[in-house]
Amino acid sequence: MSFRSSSARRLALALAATILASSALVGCATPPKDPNALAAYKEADDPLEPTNRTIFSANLAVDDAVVKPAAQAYHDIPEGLRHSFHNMLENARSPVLFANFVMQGRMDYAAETFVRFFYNTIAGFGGAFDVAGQTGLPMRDTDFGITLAKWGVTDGGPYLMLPLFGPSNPRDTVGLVVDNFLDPIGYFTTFGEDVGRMAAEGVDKREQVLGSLDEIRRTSVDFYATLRSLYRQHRADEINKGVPGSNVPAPSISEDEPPLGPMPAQSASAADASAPAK
Amino acid sequence: MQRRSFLGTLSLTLAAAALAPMRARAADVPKAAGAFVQSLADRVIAILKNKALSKDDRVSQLADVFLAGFDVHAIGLFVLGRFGRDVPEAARDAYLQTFKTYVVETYAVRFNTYAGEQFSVTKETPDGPEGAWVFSNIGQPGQEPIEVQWRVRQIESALKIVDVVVEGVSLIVTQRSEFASILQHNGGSVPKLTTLLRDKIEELKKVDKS
Repeated sequence: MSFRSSSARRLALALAATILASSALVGCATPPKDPNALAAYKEADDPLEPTNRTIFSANLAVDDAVVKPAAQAYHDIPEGLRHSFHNMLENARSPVLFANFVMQGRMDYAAETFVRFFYNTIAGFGGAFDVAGQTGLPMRDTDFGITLAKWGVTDGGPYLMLPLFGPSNPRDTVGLVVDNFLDPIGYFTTFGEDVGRMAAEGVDKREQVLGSLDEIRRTSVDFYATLRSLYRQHRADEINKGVPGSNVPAPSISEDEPPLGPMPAQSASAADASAPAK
Repeated sequence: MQRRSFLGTLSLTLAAAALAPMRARAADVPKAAGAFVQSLADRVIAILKNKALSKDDRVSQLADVFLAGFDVHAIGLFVLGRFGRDVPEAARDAYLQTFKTYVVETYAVRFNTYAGEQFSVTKETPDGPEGAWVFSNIGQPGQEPIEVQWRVRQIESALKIVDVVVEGVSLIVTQRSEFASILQHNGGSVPKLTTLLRDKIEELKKVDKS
């Protein structure tokens, strides 16, 4: 049993602490004076916008140079092989998912995850085949950020563009670190294997949005702002999925009433989360 | 007394009956909206399947369907948000014209890349007395179908789509956020936004031609 991987954990903790601490110290954007611009600034909830945009440019450069080509190469391997690889990565997250569902009080999902893990690992050749999914047990995804939201941290905080990890906020950054610590597999792997696995997960995720992300980048005038909005709405959907009464109607846009009618001064996460739940 | 009120009631009823066919009754709007969205999708799929069309013809036909189906005017005003409040009419009209070209270039052109053939409306729910949410599944080859929600409004007896939501992400909310950011960084100038949109349209047209 190797505990060399504890160095990966210390590194993750140090990185997260640095990011959160420096977020507080690094130059914030100055709030604009114009009332319309000020209202937009408040809705965006992105006081660190200048820094975030710089990190975003860096992320895009890394994406263009390394991640996207890797994702494209990954996309070119036979579909069956790719699905197996994807399923194995997902299966390996089962312990973390299980822990989070328990913490959220969702014993039903925790039990499903448990069953899926054993079924897929044994009958599915180490998770390569999602046999459990085929018998009607779908994969349920979650993370510690969602757990925190369920515990009452409903406002994730200002927008944070993390190096490499991408869009986030203080709550979800803490979630990333905690999930890393919760993962038992990491206690059996070396630092290199940990990084390798994270990179593999990154490429796997990147492959899934290959076409759509490029399309959004191509057509956006302000790609940063578009992504910020997309991320926030999607995240709110992930957190609220399955919660009855979370069906917040989007602002009305009928012709008869002034389109700029009562525009509630909500925080961005609320303004961007105004979409119906399923 | 009785005769007058009888005639009065009769004429009111006749008047109501004359008006009724022009607008779907509130109870009918969701069903009509569902049929409307399905018919638009059928038209798009038919255009995409038609191999005899040149690329330009296909894009132009897709643009027609898009403009017929979506209330681009209302969406254009919505995504401007509070920044549109004090805009002089000329600037506003210039913006709306450019916005129309922009959405055709970005969204209608996207239909061209859709390779799937499966589109089915799964259910409709009312959205106020004059609207409905239409839920649909779009099939993609080799992948799980995506659930797409269409927000439909009855505007002057015509049905129009006013928003599209996928996995909790609303098209118009996203677009409004982007425009708010651009306007915030450009002193709230709608003409400046219009110029940036025109630049983007030019850029996209260049790539499409190459």
